[in-house]
Amino acid sequence: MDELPIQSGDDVVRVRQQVRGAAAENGLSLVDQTKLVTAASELARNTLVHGGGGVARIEVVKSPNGRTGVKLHFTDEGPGIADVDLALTDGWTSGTGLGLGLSGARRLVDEFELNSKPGKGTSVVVVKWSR
Amino acid sequence: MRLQEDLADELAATGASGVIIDITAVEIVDSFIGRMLTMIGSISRLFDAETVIVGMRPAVAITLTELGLSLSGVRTALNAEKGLEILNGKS
Repeated sequence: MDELPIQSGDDVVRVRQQVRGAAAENGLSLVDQTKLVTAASELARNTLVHGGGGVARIEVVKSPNGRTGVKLHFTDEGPGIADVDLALTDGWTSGTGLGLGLSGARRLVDEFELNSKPGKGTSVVVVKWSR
Repeated sequence: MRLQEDLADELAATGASGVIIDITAVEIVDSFIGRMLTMIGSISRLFDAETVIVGMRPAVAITLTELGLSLSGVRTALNAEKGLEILNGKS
């Protein structure tokens, strides 16, 4: 399982490239690759900007019915999210963006899990399955 | 951003009435890039220039829509030729 640091804008680009590679190698269609890479870009930027940096992990997973998926973990030890439901609302923004990053990323993947504790950090895990 | 500064300088210097941005080579547009494109449209409008984004890949268009980005304030066209037609007032 690859672990990638997210400490700069260049690291976000590297995460995108690695996710693209994993998605292409594991049979995701071009549209699904693009959706997963876009979601990864949003989440990696959140880790950098709101989490103060962190790590991404890329994992290849199998479903019970034999489908292959790409699972991504984004983890930071930043300030955390006080109100997760609010943060996942379309158009709600902490100030700098359009308020679509988190809610949009959730729509682009098949599985989405967010865990956050104020003061302890945030972890987001997403999966995109091959069709 | 360098691109926005260069664009504003060019618009002021040339008095151009249109801006075409070709994103054929762009593999993804996330909300960060989307915001940048929208801002380019806003800057251009202050110089009375219209912005047309051309060459968007099909997978990017599908993803943008699902992400919820509308790229408000900028027009889009299939390719540079169609973009020029818009700027020349043919459509």
